[in-house]
Amino acid sequence: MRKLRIMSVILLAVSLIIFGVFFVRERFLIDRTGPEFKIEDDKITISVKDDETALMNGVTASDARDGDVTDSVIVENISPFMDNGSRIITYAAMDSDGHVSHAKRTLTYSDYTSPKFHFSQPLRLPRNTGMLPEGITAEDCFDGDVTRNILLLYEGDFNRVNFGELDVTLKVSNSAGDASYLPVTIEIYNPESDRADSQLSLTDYVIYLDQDAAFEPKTYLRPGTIDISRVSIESDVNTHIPGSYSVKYSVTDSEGGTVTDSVRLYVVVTEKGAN
Amino acid sequence: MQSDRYTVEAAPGKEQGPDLYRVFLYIVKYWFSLLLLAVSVTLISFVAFSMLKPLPYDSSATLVIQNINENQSYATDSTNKLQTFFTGAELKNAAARDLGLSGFQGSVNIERLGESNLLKVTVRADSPSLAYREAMAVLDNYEEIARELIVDMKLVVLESPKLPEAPAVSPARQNMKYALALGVFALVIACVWLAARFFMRDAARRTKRAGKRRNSGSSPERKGTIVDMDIDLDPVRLFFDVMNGFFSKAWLYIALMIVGGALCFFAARFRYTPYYEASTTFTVNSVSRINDIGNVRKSAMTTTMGNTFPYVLTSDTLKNLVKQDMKDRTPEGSADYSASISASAASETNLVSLRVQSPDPQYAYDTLQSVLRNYPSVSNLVLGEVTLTQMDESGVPVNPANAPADKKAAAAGAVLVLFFTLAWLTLRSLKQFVTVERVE
Repeated sequence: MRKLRIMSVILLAVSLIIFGVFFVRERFLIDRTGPEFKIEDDKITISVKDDETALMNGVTASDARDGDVTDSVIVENISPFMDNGSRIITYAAMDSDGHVSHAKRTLTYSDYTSPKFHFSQPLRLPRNTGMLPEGITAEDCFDGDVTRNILLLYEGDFNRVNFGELDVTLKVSNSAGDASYLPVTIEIYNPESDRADSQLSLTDYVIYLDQDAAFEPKTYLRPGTIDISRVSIESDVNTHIPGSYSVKYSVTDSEGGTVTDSVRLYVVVTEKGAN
Repeated sequence: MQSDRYTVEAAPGKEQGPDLYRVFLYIVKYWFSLLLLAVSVTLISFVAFSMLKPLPYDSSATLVIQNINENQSYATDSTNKLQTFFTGAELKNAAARDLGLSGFQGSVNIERLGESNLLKVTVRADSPSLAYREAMAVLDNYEEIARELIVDMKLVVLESPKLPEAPAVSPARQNMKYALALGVFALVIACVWLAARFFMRDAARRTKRAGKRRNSGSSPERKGTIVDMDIDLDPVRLFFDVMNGFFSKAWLYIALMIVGGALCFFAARFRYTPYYEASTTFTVNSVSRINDIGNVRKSAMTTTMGNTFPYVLTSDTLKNLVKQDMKDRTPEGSADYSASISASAASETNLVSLRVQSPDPQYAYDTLQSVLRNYPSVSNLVLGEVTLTQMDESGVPVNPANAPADKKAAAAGAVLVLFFTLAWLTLRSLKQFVTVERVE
């Protein structure tokens, strides 16, 4: 059995040599590090119309073994908006050994605007419909038509509301996690006794104004539809303060007593320079 | 180590022990060679596995399952349906076509996260690049194919796939596991071989000895042969021996225990890092809403929201936002802290607890506030509209959430010293129970 012992010692010696060579190779000879990013500025501002190449400006990556590996850099992810209106871009680069590195920088847009609503007609709903009022659409500078994302938020049981006006909030969000809210008043009407035509008509039912912009409610009345002297306008719009406002246009009968019709214009004043 | 010229045999005139016992003694005689063999096989196997076995890389995406009829709760069988869909050939073929591959080279696995309506889709492949590209291709194609197959639900991406930086499993650990298994296997094979060798030689020896006895009647043993090895273990005697050994130098062993305990005590004190926990508890409610296709969602459906919301709060997407937010708000030159975010929901309720732990109490609290500021942009993507009603909040924590474990460490250190002392005394006492008889 001496042979057995000699063989086992030789086997151990061989295995130790193999393991030693492997260890040295793994520890010292093989590249274990991923590419190194070089980013000129950790904050970048682009236009919403720019394509992905704009995100790559000033981003290079190099690897100790492969040299310049900027070609391998991809935009792995663009985060949703942070509460300060910026997003985080995550870049990834890979070398020929399959080692991956990541880098981040902050992204802001020079011309971004939150999703916007469009109303083509006054917001009215027949009772017990459980649908969005007709004529509401929404548009986003990233996603285009985001009408599918519109939600009507309300309290209580929507199907039990009485005829008249109902205060709700419209919400629309985009793929970047940003959302626009617009408090509106919906007229709930009885389809059986509803008059077919409206006396009042506006050129727009929701408008977006920059802060401090001029606003004249009368200019939104569609000309030729009604005697403007019979229209009274209630407006709380203050374009100096960003927010959502509504302007109520009411038309009274010839004696100036009973309100026969009313519509609302929603005014959204956006902060200067806000995304 | 025993010399090779010794053989283990029953002494003439003594009762022969069981064969297995003798086999055991025979195998133990070669323990050193066996150990070398096992170590050698383990080392060579480890190198072979490390060189030849490709490493698996995972690239995962988290999707939110939304039923088209929003009032319909998430059905468990949806997971099975989606499992079939995501692992099916149609989606894989479409993804492979997109990538210009002859076939899908990775594997797809899906997992529902707890009781939430979140689904983790993981693509595992042999390289980080392939795992990522195939995961992206799966996400690019699922909607088109799902349109025909899955009509009652839609999937929204909460977290998109990432290029994995590290293999899905630790290669060293996994390879060592396999190598150790092979080492043990080699050991067993060697033991079996030795046992077989013992039986063959034993049978031959008995035949030879019987022949000699018939011819001369003299003793067959050569000089230097072990003729008997016996272990006559008396547990009671062993116990008292050990106790005697301990109490004869009790002062020394107790001193060693004190030293061991003190070392562990100070080591635990030295390693102790206090962390602070800021927390808040709130209820999560969905808001009643009507969507563009006329589905009315009642706010009462909140259990799913409670199950899903903790995942939103701890998602990488939100953590990224919070990390950047904290970086932006931390003045230049301030200490660089880290924080861990965890969230949980009370079972079957919409009550969610959010906890943030950090070495700095103010940082823990600020991070908590950052989570609450930034969550809407993530929840907007996946949950629509939610409202949080805060029930309580810790404020800036005053006391650390963890206490130093110095006393436990001291006790553990003392017990460890005691254990090794008793083990040593036991081994020392065992020697007297082994009797070896040789012909000198």
